Amino acid sequence: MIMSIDGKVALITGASSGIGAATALKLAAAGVKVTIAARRADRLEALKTEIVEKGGEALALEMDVTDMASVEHGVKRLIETYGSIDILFNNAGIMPVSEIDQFKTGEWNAMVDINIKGVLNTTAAVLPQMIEQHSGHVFNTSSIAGRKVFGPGFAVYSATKFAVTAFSEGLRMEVGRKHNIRVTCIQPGGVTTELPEQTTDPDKRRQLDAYRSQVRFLDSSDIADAVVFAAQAPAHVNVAELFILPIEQA
Amino acid sequence: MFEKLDRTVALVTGASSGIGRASALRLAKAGASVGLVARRAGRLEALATEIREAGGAALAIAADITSAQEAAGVVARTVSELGGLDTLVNAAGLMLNGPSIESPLDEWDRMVAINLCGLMYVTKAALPHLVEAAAGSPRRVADVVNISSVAGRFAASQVAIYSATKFAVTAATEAWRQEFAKRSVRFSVIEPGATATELFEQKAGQWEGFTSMFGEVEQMHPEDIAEAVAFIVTNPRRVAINEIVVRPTDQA
Repeated sequence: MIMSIDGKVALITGASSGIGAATALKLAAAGVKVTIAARRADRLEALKTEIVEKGGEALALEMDVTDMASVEHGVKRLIETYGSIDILFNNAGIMPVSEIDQFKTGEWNAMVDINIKGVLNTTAAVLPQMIEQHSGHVFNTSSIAGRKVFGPGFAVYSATKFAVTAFSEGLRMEVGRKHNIRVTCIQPGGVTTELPEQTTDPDKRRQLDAYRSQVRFLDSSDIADAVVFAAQAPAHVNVAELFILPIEQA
Repeated sequence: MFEKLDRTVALVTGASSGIGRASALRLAKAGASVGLVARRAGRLEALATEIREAGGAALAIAADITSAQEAAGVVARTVSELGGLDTLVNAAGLMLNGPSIESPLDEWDRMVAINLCGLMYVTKAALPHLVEAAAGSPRRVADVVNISSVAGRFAASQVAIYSATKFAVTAATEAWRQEFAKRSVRFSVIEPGATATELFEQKAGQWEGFTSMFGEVEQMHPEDIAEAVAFIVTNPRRVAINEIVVRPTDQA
């Protein structure tokens, strides 16, 4: 059975592009009031315009998920605007690929800050409201890299995504029964997003581009469909993990 | 957005009840002709009638898939009478949990026979037809959806052999997925938590054993899992949903 999500309220981080933007559009089309959060305000405004033109409802929030004050400020505005929050999509993430002996420690720290701490910050800011409501649904974007370590260059990214998968599972165990909050960990393989562009190591960048020419990556909207599928499941059904790949990706 | 399954053929094992039955109904509703497999002929005929009366096409095949020969026969009949094979749902399953010293060895053998060997025999016979469908059908894709269990991800006391069979299903699915990725046969595994089927009734005391670990939970319905099966199979060709873990919201 599929339940309507019309009228629900969502917060999506990393909404300025890729999976976040595509999911905002799909949820809005299903009648969800979407709060789109990211650092790039101009991108958000363009997306908000697109959603509104299609008859949807959107609130754009310039937000840095690594900054707790910024996150709390944004969530406060969301609650003031809509009065509740039903769906949190922790989607902001970066993937600068490099091997450890390059010691790009700035990139390592940025991945830990955005991919892990960003998820924790936003979850901490939103959960009190969901607990009070005794309902809610948290989605976290992990990755196939949160299930296995591909090989040279992916150590830190994989570590952050293993963390997201582990946190999702632990959170689910704690808040499912106690607070009636569902937790879904989405684990995509190759998706056409901006992720490869974040790699500064030229050799790794070439490898990523070469792989992308061999396998037709998924569209961001394919992942958005999976999010909508899990969100539309009846309240007693929690899609805990969903692993989704391009058909050709081994 | 999602594809219809008109002019496709699905084969569903364990179709006499629970997740298999619900999946067969759901795939028929999406347009597939459905081969129904289980041992209980009466149940299958009733389901086939229900599907036909709703405007669908169904073929009841009473068989014991723990026999490799019968499993191969099931696949052959489906292909010859329904015209091919695009989708295989391996839903037949048996759960006989309990203390390992007291449990008869026969119970363990039967779980291995149905949960692993049965799935293995049907899948083996189906593979050439699925590859052919993926290469030659208009959709250019075929699907195998295996029903494992959360017990295929997490082992627990008194669930040793059931868990072992379901870990095996999860592992085999992932290996097949990699092997057939380039040939457009998608392999998926669904790992449900507690679902209101006959599974817990297959041996006395199993529900009590479950609730002693997890408390009372609002179980999922077979239709909830069937919806995941349909989501997997009707996704556009380029999208392979390889694994879905799905639990009752209140099952830790």
